[in-house]
Amino acid sequence: MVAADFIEQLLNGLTLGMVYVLLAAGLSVIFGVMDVINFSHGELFALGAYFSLSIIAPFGAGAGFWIAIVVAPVAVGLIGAAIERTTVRPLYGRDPLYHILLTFGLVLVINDGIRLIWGTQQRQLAVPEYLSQPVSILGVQVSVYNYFMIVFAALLAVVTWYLLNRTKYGMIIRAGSQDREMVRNVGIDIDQYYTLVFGVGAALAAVAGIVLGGYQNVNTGMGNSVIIPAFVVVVLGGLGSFRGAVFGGLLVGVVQTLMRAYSGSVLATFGDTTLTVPNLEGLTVYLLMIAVLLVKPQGLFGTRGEESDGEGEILVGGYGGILADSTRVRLGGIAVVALALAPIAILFMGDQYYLVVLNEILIWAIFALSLDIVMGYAGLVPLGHTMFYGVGAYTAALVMLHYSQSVFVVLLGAILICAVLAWVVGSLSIRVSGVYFAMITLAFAELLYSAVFKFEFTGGSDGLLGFEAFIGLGTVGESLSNIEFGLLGYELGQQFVFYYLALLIAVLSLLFARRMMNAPFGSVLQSIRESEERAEFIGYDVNRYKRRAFVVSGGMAGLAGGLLAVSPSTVIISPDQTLNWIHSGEVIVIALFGGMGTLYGPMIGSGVFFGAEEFLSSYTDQWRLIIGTMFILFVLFVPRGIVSIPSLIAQRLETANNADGPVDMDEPEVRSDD
Amino acid sequence: MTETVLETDGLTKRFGKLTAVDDVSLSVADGEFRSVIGPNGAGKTTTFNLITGALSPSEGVVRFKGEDITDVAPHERVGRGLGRSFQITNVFGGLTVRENVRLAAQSVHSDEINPGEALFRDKNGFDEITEQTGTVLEQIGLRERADEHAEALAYGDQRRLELGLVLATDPDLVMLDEPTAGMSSEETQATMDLIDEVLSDRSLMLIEHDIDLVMRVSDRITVLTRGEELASGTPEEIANNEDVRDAYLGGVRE
Repeated sequence: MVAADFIEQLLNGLTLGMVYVLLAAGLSVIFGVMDVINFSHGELFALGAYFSLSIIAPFGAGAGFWIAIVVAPVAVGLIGAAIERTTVRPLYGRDPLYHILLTFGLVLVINDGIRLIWGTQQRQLAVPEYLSQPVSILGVQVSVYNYFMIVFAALLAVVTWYLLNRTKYGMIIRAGSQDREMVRNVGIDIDQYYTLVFGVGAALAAVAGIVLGGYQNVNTGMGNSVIIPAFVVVVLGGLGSFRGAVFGGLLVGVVQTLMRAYSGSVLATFGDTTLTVPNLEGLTVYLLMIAVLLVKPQGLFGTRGEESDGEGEILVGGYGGILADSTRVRLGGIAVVALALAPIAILFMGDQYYLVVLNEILIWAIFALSLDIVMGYAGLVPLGHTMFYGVGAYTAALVMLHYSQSVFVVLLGAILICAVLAWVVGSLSIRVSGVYFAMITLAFAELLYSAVFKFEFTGGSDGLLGFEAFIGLGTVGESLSNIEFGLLGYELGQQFVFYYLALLIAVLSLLFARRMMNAPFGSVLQSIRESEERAEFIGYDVNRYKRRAFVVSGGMAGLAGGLLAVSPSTVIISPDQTLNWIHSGEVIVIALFGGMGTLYGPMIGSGVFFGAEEFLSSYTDQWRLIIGTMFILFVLFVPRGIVSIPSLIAQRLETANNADGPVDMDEPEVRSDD
Repeated sequence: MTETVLETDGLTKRFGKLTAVDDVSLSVADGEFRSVIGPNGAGKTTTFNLITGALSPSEGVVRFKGEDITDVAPHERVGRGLGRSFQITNVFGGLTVRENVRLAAQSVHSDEINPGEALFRDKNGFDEITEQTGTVLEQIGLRERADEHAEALAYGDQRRLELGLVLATDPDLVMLDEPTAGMSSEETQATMDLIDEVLSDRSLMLIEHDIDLVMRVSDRITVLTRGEELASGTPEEIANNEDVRDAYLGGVRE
């Protein structure tokens, strides 16, 4: 009975694992050949399921399912090919970071497209009746559908393997993932194959979406929920390795399922001691991923020693020659004065809601600024930066609940805890570089995200509530919610007080970061961004500088998180609001949007991002679609961010006057170093 | 000036079954201009990387100024006075020429900067560093162009800056990795003149495959073949060495 139960769980695990195999195979080959980290892979997966819904509807479950499983992947594959042609292609040769931003924009666009067309309700994907019957083999009872999924996915994997290893096209694609230049040099137009690879990858994802949709259900969050495990699979198996994707997919599927089934259950009893399975559901795969990355950064089956580093560069933005330093400082001063006066205008408008939006902007401005320190200056791209934002928020809430309500103590606690966390994570992660660094930080963030669900003291999935900040220290001061005073007949309250607190902290943070970047420490960070190898050979301990930058950045992100907890608009600190990977993506988007490597650029980015969100969402439900499209256009045409627009315009005007030929946007006309 | 600045003892590096560097024992005297030559695949670059610390040896010891530095990290070797230049110009393109040199000068003085200063004091407020930066800019002849971005410099000036970065770290021994690779004969001459002009008071170790060049400039030459040391001696001795002629000069000569 126990054995049968175990085999049943194993079969469930293999079923899920097969879905991961299909997803990861595409992701991995796309990365291997093109160096593209495709975040939109999960949405293409979801798109496959939704297309099938529409195909099955007129034909019914019997024939419809089989038509869908052929037609939907082809349709999604065509969409994938179109995406590669129009958006991914112009970015080859740039830093993989730009693919992250681009595909993150695609996530927003596709996801919102799905909501627009199919609605947000959870749907059932009808499968033929004979597939959904339960079947009992040797006492093990699972649905026929499980066997169908395993066999069908295995068949597809074998076909893919055959195509990659036994056909001319596959040879070229594999050669391309080894050495792209070499393939070009022997006269093969490898770029043509990129479209094919992207399309086939998308089609495989769509198949995965259909089979999983039939197994569970179809909902708008399904892409989001598989994309991170799929990345874990790819990294575990080795980026670019098909064999790794198969092995990693099955491993993650089985481990996830078994941990879910057996967490906390008794494994064995020896006399008085019982050995129980630790309750690590959700955590195991991330622990596994971190362990593998630390021991064998290239993954279990990865072969690439060095990633193709230095091929692209991170484009930093700045006014450069357009505005003199003094003008910029003056503009900054004017901006601060304007922000200081903004509440008065809001007061006359009589709607304090705008103040709530401004408060959010300020918090995220600090968060984005903290990211710029590591990304725009030290050239490190963390995909898990929200771990500091989230841990900062949780720390602040816990300090308020259990220790002190004083806002000073609370924020200091958030900074310190996050700085320590950053030191630990940094010490482990900075040894690996580039994409692996991005992935290992993502794993740490996901580990913490899963962990807060587990612990009692973090309130599980409900999060924490019932905390309140006290503006002051000791007994001197006032609780934030008690603050209310009138001025000229207008009622002022906690939102105003918090606004000025946040504004003060944001300005101080910017001045702090600016000072740091003009000091010896910051100057070394910039040299590391320019050339890590060179920095090392003029005598700098590069890893030590990176780690310190990471600590400063983590502490500052913690401060932003702490402010979130203190904010009067925040009633609950929940896992999804603070630790969901989406926020790590958002903050990168914001920093790039504003202009990296400038410190103030990401802060402006925060204003524009939330301003646009607020503005658009009051007119349409499809604001994500518009913002996502905006990102995509930015990545393609304004990669140095909003702050580079003045010099871009000046450049265009100059070119128009001189007719000197086309403007090359990648040429660094603008620079960050002040 | 007969003190030894650099010494390797039984230096060996294996990559799987391939022994790239096999039991190489060198000794470079203080103030010497040593060249290491050999055909492609002789282990020149691997030897270079073992000495600078980019690779760690399978066996053997590297001693610098009498101290064992085999397990010392590359950046610390630089701190102890072991500088290197890059074959492909490797400067901080997005920073100004002055900032490039200043960073190298700052590295030498970083022990004197306390953490508070490192984080918050204006980087241009350290007199010694500023002074050294000025001196080096003068020496490499780029004072006039100090405020331009390094990537805007002409190729020749970038090579000058490259050497300036090495010079600013105030090294006792400079390792040069084929500094004239891919250059015309005039450019080669200009580069060697520059090295002579800027680095003549330091010990130098040049990795090169252009024999004529090496014969002209070196005090002593070491010849490597298949990872092993074939001969060491003055240019004259090397030119007259039978083994070298057979193995190298007599073979494929570029």
